[in-house]
Amino acid sequence: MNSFSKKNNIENNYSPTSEIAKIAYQDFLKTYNQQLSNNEITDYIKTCMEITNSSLRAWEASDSYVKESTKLIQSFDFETLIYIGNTAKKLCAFSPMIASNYINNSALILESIDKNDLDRYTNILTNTAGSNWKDIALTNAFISVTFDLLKSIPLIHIKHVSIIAKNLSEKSHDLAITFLENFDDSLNNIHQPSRIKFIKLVNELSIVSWPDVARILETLPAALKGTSNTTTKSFLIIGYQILKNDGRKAFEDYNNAISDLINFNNLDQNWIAKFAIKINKLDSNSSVTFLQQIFILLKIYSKKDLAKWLNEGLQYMQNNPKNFDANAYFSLESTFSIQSLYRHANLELLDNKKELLEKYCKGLSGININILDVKELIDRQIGWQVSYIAATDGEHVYLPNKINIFNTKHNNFLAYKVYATHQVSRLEFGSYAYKFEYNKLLEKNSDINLKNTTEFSGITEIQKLFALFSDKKLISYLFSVVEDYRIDYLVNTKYPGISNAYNMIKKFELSKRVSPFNLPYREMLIESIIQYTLGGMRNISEELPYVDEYTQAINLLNSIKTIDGVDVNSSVEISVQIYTLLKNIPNFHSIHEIDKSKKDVVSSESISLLADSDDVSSVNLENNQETELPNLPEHLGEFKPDLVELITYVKNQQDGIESNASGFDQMQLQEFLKQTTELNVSELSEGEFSEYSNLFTNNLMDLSNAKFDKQKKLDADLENHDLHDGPISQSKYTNEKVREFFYDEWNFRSRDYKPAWCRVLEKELDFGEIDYYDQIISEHSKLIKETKRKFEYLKPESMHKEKRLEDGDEIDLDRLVDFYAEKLAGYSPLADFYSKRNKIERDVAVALLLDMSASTDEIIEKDINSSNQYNQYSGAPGTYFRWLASRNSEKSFNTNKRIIDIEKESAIVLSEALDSIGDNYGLYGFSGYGRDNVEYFVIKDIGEKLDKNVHRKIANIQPVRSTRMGPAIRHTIQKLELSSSKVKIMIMLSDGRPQDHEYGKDRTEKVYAIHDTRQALLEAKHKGITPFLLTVDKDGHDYLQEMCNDIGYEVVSDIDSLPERLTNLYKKISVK
Amino acid sequence: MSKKNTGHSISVEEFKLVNEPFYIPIKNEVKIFEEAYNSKIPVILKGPTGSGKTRFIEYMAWKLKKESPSSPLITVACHEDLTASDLVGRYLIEDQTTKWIDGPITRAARIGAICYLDEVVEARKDTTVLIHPLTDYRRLLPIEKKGELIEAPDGFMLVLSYNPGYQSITKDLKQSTRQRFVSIEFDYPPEETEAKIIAKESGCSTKIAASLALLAIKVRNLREYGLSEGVSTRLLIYAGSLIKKGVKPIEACISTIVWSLTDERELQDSIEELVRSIFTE
Repeated sequence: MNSFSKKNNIENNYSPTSEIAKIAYQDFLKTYNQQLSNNEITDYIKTCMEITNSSLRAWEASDSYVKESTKLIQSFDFETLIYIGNTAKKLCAFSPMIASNYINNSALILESIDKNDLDRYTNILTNTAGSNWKDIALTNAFISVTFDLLKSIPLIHIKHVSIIAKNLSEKSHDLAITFLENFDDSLNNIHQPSRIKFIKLVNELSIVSWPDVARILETLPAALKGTSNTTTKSFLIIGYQILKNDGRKAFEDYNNAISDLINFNNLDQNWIAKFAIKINKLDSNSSVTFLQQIFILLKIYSKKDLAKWLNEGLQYMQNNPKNFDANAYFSLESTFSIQSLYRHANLELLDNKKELLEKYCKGLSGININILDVKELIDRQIGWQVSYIAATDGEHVYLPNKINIFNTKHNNFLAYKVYATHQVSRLEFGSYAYKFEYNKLLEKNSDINLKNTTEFSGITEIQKLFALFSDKKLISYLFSVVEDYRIDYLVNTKYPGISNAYNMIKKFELSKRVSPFNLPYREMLIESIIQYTLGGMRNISEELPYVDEYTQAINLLNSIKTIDGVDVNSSVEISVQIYTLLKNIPNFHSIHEIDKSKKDVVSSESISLLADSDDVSSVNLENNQETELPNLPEHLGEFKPDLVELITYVKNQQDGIESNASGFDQMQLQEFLKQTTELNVSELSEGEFSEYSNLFTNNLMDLSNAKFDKQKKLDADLENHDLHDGPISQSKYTNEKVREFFYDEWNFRSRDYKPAWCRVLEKELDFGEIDYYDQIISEHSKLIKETKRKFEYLKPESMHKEKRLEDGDEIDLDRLVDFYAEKLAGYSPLADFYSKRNKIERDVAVALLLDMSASTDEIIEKDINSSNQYNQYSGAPGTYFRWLASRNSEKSFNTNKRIIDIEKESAIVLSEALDSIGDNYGLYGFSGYGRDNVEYFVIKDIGEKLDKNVHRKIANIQPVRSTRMGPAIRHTIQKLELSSSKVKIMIMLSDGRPQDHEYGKDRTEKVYAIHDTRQALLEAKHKGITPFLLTVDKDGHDYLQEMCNDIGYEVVSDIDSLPERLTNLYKKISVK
Repeated sequence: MSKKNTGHSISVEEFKLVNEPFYIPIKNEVKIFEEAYNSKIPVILKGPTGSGKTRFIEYMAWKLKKESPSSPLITVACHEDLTASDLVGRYLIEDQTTKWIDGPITRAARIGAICYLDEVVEARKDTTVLIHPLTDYRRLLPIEKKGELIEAPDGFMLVLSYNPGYQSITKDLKQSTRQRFVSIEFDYPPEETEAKIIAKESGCSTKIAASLALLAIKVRNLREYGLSEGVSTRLLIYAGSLIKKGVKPIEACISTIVWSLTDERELQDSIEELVRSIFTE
């Protein structure tokens, strides 16, 4: 058969199914009959047939093939056409649908890939395809997105996409489809060169943490959007490593952390990436902690400072990888790290200098000054609104939480010192001691046009003064300027040592100010005066407008230096005079071109008007602008004499200092608010004003009642506090009920303390039943009596005579006779015939620390098998039966008792016994949940009397929550340290191992808590306190050995005997 | 006070105050002491360390006993092992025999000197047994071991000093003792007076002395931070002396005041900042 006939033959054997396909097929054959060789035609038809025959519904695929053929051969070549046909044939084996889809998309896809890559593409498809419906749908979806994907990534990478889709479809088909549909969008947010890294990461994610894929595809590219290519790449590498090495949780933290990246510029982002990748290379987990911390740190510290700190950490990581806990370092959960950061940084933090400054201020002024973060003042909502950097309300000095204006730490500290000195000096030099005297004011300023009145409105002294002026804002402003100048002068005269620091800061403030010469005249003059007070404006040209007024104002200011006994009244007088001066100056803009004659006219006119009305704002002249008062130099802080006077007044009233003062009512306070120039209430509407005034009044009253919702704040703080935040911020609440203390916690991994890690909240225990104590006393009367008797024996040991001394108070006659005898006999005896009576005073302080964890709520299981009772007895054999009898009698009472009940009873027995010998003792309980909330209950403080109140508190000892022993021990140490006793003992009574929320790496880790507790016990030992642990946990031996090492402990196997054991034990420890 | 310190020893009785000790009266203490002396009433000097108690008693001894041929003043620094026999005297063995040696209080009672028991609460309680008969109308010193009674001459006077600030409650003076004495309270002198004292004693400039006196007030404001005593005039004089000799004021103050007052780092820093505010580099 020749090839032609063969061709015809085959032609007849094949026909497409659909009509459209038939037409397309005929068209193709007609068109290419001439162009293609017979063999080629044959091959083509064969291919069509093979596709049709390859599976049941394969005619669909061959129809598609036929339909696409013309397009394919036109765009490419015959070879390609056949190739696609063959591939389609293979795909039909999975599903004709896949094959059709493949054929339909081929022309499009072939535009993006090289012909030589067709094999690769085919491979990807055959690897992806499958015969179940899910695989078919997935492959189809894949084919559909391939064209778009090819715009983003080359074909070689597309393979990975298919793998990811495959991975995901094994878990969730829908997820895989969604992934394919959205992946291209995600890719488009990533720089082209980094995309492969992204794919790699998503691939890893699909294995490690598939449910997160959809979310990460949204958040991660969003976080990286806008970063440079290298940064993106670095972060993707880091993410991949974290995912691979540290798993899902760490990656989650990483992803959350870098969502902050968008808030930084490219430079910062690169910088972060640079360090992150360095850390990541050494330890991927530490790079997570680094990223969690660095964004916060960048807001506080400069990059330069941080780089030094980070490099130090990196160096330790490299040199000492085994012994260096990089995680603790980069999360600042280590004292070493914090110190290192502080050492490298130029800035100074208020937290670090607060106590020093408090003492410094106290020294300077003699007043007890509390230093607080200026933010707190604003939080108080008593009038301070704008975030000034310093202020005082009479008993607190408010300072910024960090200062970073100079390039050395010392200079930044000096800035703190200047701020604090200035605020305190206001108190020292009486800035708030103004007494309003109208006649005196009038007498000294007869030339000023004061409002002539005999009724003085205004609640405070300073308000009465300001009320006399039409422009209250201006007079108040000038008073601030003059008064600050006075303080500045007095400080620098009295404390010349601080002058340099003052000048440094004034120079800095001066550098921030604008040139006065572009301002309207009056503002120009005011600004010039301010700059003069900062040491500027010394060489003024004669041509300065209003140079005379300026000189006059400066002379007035400087008269402060010549007034004998200059005080706040002098400032008032001077500011009144400057006010008069300034009032006569119109507030034109100096650049307004006004010809001379006109200017003169306007000036004289305005002055005459001024004289009439004393109100410049009513001078409604063209060009005359309302005076905008320039900002006062920052280092002076906010001066609010009016508010301070009010606060002091209200406080004194509350304290009963000014008993004749009638209380402020709401009306008066509203009046105050209306009058004062220190609050911006003038813009408020009626409703807003009344709301504000209520708030103000309440806050003010609270403040003066010295509670200021501290408890509320504390509670809110507790709720909001994120436990991952690093050291707890050191804010001290001095509430009567709850007192806060901060303690470090020992991290045995980094062998370093986590600074200020735990917050102990010391509370008084509430009262319980009245009768409980007496009930227990009568229940245990026998034991108590016995114990008391035993304890009595402790006393006589207190006098002790030392003999055979070479020097002493008394002569031991017998020894003296011996001495003489021996001497006469020719020996050379020692002259040791003196004796001395040493009085050893029993001087013991003991703290009994009770575990109040929830587990103490358990009811004690009775040990029915009492055959081994003898084993528990440790006394003399002769008294065994007596012991047994007393024990049994006790047991009969102990039905259904909980561990906590026994603890309480022990506490009572011990208290009674201790009281009888007069040892100092304290009873404390602890519990809590989390490091932020370690509750420490004071039942009886050392030195407190054992009275009815204590009885009732003991009755109220109850199981609460967890057992974080470390901070409780540390707090007890602090309590014992306050006592002056020579022997200090701490006995801790517990029912199990230390455990608490996040007291260890995870829930199951026990070793961290044990190490911290052990460290706390060692701290006690180092401070001369004898710690002792008593546990009723039968398994206690396991961990106590590790926890206590050489510290005394005992496991009380028979809980009922606890009261007795405790007292015996006490006797043993305290006498040693 | 003999000005030349040559190292040779003299007996207590020979000791004489040659020059007038420098003392600026603050209140009426001189008058009260004089009248107490004349009325044979013993005196307690109360006050913080370095507030001039010892200088005052020297001054008074000089003032009252210019004409006295023997020592005007016998001072005993009391310590916690000081017993009654240390004050009265004791038998010592010399060769084969015993020999009685008078204690300082006995010596003072014999020659009619002022006996000054410095920081008396530090001494043992049994010393009060001696003090009581000497301080009331009897003015007798019984020497039990010798069976002797010394009747104190007119010039004899017992003066105690104690510092109510830092002693613990257990070491407080008993009411029965306290109430036999006239008390004179000392506190640090007012700023100007203190400046004068510093200038005179140390020889430093009046400007430095004024700054030191100002510093003293500031540091004394810190009493409640564990500085129970504040800074004493004595320390200020030391600082003045060092400055006079050419030590930089800040350094001098740090050595004499900051480091002497406390070992607590933070408090030291605070005081140092006060120093740095007052003195220029």
